[in-house]
Amino acid sequence: MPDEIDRISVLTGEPDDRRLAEALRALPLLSPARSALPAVLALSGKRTARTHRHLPGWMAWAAGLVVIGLGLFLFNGQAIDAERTTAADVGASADLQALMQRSLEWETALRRLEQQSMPMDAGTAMASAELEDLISLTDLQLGATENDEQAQSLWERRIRLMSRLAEVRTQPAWDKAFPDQSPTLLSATYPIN
Amino acid sequence: MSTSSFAIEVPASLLDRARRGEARAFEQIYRLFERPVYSLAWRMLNDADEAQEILHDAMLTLFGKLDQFRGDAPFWGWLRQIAVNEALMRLRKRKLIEFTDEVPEPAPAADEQSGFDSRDLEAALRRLPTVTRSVVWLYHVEGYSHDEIAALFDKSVSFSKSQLSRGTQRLRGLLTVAEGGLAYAG
Repeated sequence: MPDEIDRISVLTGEPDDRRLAEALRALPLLSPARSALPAVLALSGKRTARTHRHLPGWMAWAAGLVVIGLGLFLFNGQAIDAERTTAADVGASADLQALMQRSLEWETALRRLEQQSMPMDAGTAMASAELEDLISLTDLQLGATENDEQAQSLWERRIRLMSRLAEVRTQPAWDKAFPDQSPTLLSATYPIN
Repeated sequence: MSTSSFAIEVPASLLDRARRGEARAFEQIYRLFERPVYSLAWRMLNDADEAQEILHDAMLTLFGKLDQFRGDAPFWGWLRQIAVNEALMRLRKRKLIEFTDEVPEPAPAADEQSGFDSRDLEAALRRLPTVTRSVVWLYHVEGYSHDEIAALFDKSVSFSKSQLSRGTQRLRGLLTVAEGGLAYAG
């Protein structure tokens, strides 16, 4: 009860305080830059000991190099066979789990890459932002899927988009490390529709 | 009636489906509470990356502990407590109290009802020390009592009252009173 009195006095004692409290409550809700759902779904089924996601600088760099390696690997068409996998090839739930896990791995790699915040040119930044938008759109579609087949197709799309986002984001590091060779790595291979 | 953005009634059937491990039910719950959890975390810590991590960790905790929800209190209150606890854990890891002039991430629209641009309020809010801002937010927006805030921070009721008083005063100082509304003076 005393607390209620305090609250009432704050809200009624000073018109400006009351207005302030109302204004605070009226502030708009914020949206995250990307959905946490894929990672949460992937982890919630097989929750194990949590890992700390902050890495020392050298480990972040190492993670970045791993992502660069993954990007190269993907670019050469030797990995991530999501595009070639059709819904009919696989039984739904086990493969959905595998796709979610793969998506999570990309998400983790991208998050580590973000921590290095390598400066990028306007074109790369724009491409990166557009890919992020497409990933968000895919997340929205995932929330409205009717069946596992649709979900699988969307998870595959999500993985493709994230792998391309990793390629785009590693471009500045590649440019810096190999100024003469960088054009061979990336040439905006992602379709934006 | 709660003014919290968390105050969303969740059907018992949806919770049952989620308890049975139905991924689509998880998704629905996530969609309902994604923005309230993220917003609370962002307001308390003033950091988009940490808010993103709190969202992730709170949802993971929620789904991991769904079986423990007994239903004798609103589900949203239970989830909100998980989110607040996650945020407080991070506050404790920080050395607290800092001021910031960071460029605002969100770009809220003008709030015509209050007669001033909510951007001003966002900017003023960000200038509060982290703990003070958290107390102001938990009290004014989420409706926590001083007793509850004191327990959350493991401090006295006086602590909560003084933080609220200090925060309100500082906010009022940052927002100059103008005719028909408040304006940012920072």
